[in-house]
Amino acid sequence: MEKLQTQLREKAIELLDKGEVTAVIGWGSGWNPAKATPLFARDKETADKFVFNPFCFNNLAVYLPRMNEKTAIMAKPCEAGSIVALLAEGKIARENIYVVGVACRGIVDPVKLEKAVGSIDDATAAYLDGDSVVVEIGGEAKRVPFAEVAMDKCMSCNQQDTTFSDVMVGEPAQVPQGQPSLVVPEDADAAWWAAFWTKEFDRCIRCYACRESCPACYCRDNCAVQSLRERWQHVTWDSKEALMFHAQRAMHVAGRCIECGACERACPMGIPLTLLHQQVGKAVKKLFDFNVGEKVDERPPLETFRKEELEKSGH
Amino acid sequence: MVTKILPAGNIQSWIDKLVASYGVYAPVEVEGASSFKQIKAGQAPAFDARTDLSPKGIIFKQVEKILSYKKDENGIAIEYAPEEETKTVIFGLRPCDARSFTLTDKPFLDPVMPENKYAERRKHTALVTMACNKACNTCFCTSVGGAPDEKVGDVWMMNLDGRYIVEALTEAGEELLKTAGSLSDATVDDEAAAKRIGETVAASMEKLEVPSAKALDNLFTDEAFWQNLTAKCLSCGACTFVCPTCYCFDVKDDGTVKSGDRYRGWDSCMFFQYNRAAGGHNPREFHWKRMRQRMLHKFSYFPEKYGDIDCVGCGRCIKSCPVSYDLRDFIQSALRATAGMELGFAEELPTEDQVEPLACDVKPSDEIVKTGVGSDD
Repeated sequence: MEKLQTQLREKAIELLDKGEVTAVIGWGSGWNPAKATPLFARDKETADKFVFNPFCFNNLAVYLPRMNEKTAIMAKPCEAGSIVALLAEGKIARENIYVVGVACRGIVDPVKLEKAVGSIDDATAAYLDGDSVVVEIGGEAKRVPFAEVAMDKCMSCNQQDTTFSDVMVGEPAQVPQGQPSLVVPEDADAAWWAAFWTKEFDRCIRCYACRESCPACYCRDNCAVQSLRERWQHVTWDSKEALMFHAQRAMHVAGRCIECGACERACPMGIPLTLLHQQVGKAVKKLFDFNVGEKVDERPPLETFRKEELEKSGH
Repeated sequence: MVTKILPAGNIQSWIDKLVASYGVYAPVEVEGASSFKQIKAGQAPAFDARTDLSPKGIIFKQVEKILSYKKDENGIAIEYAPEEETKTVIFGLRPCDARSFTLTDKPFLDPVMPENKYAERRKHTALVTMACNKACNTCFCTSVGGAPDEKVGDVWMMNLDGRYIVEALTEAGEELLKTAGSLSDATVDDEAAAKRIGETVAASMEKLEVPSAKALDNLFTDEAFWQNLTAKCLSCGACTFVCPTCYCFDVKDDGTVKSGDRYRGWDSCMFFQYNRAAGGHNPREFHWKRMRQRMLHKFSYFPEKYGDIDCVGCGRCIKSCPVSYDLRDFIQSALRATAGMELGFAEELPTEDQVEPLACDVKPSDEIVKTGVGSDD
């Protein structure tokens, strides 16, 4: 991890020095050692502060559409997938970005981590030690196997070999092997899902952090739910209205969502949004046989129409 | 007023007594997220830590109907939402949260243009403040005029190893304490112990120097400062919605020309639509302009108008930010950026008696009250 971090800093400094890019987006240390924070570097001094560890939660691709300069971005497989999806949709230009692929071992799920070690608010240090995540709280080092606190998504990550990049930093690494924490019963029907999401969305405060942290949610300032003319969303706010918003968002990003889970980690109320997007993702895969974030020259399935799709859906 | 001691083990029976006569809101954890919810008798609140959501929404609702309207051949009929009279107690809020209500009172209990629904609920709500026995590492109340043991609210209390030292700060507080059962007088030692806890907790927080309102005002034009500071901001509303002092709202009608309802709900200055004017112009088109507004409103405009910083240092925005934006970074960067800055520009502005007051600036004692503007007529 230390070596990888050093290599990333060197690469960033090299790119800035040579004038290949004017900005590098990566991760830096946040207020909490168990939470890295996005860092924008335009000089050597700042580039020397880049870090890489299993607490680099954010999907940095979210910043690319707003950059108006040649930008290098550090890309885990999550970012790489989003970059491919954004390129496929023409939201960013290939010549304006330089992708520094990062060999990722997986990312810690902050919710799982807090369940395992208690509140991380007062952590004084957090790091990976072999196959364990160590968090120091109140002078006590709490140790937990990485596989137990890694994101569910990381366990099934198959993008290690196919990461889209201009340069790859680090050696491909084994992703953690563990059991997903959120298991949906096999016989889950519409009623089960309705009850599940009604309970979860009861906490939603309509802050739109999920939307703003999502690279696929690039409408930003023109989001349908905040439209000042047409009312797609009622002004009151309860579990049902929240479901309406999230279902709408899930459909809008269907076939474009790479299921990175940035929305879930952004949620201040800890709503397991990835699950919603995974369910929609499964349907997209089944209906269109499409893998999001794989090809830069293939439009998302809901933007195109093929005759065989009609036959497949039984019409 | 005098400090008393609530014996160990008596807090739940007091809460249960309160539940019998008031709507009691206390910290509750649901699915890992904590907030203030109405509790039932026997339900033990989760007093351990600062809640993820502030109690702001109990008095200043996230969304509420303010009126219904109907238009027919007889004219326009308006039916206002009934006056809120439920007797409410917010139990176990931290001094920072109690203080936040005293700040929001300034704009919302303005005698010329009070925010009626807020004013009604505020009048019927008593605050039982629980002083802090420890600080989170996002806390910075001492930097913005507060303290972990600040005596604010109607009743003040602090945990002394299971016993609580309590004090009624207002008449409403005295009423609440009457239901607490037998209380003994606090000894000099008890008071000393409480003082020591307050000092220890305060000492565990870093006390930041906050630039003056005027100095920050001068930072307005330093665009590079704001762009660098807010590069990672996603412009979501998480910080404003978890914030106890953010009080912006929007009014929306739901219905047709003939009939409908009018709602008032929280808004966020971080949203693009917040600033968009009719015709499409947006003076705060970019996220850094919106963040500048949020920071300067709290640390410059509000203090200039009302005398206090509109931030209580609860640290929720730091904890809830999806990209870990740290408000303390703003305070420190702004202090560096404004150090040695010449405050010429702001000082050259004409003084109050040199300018004609705008209609919106007229004070309660002036013409505007006599003409009845702002009343329901």
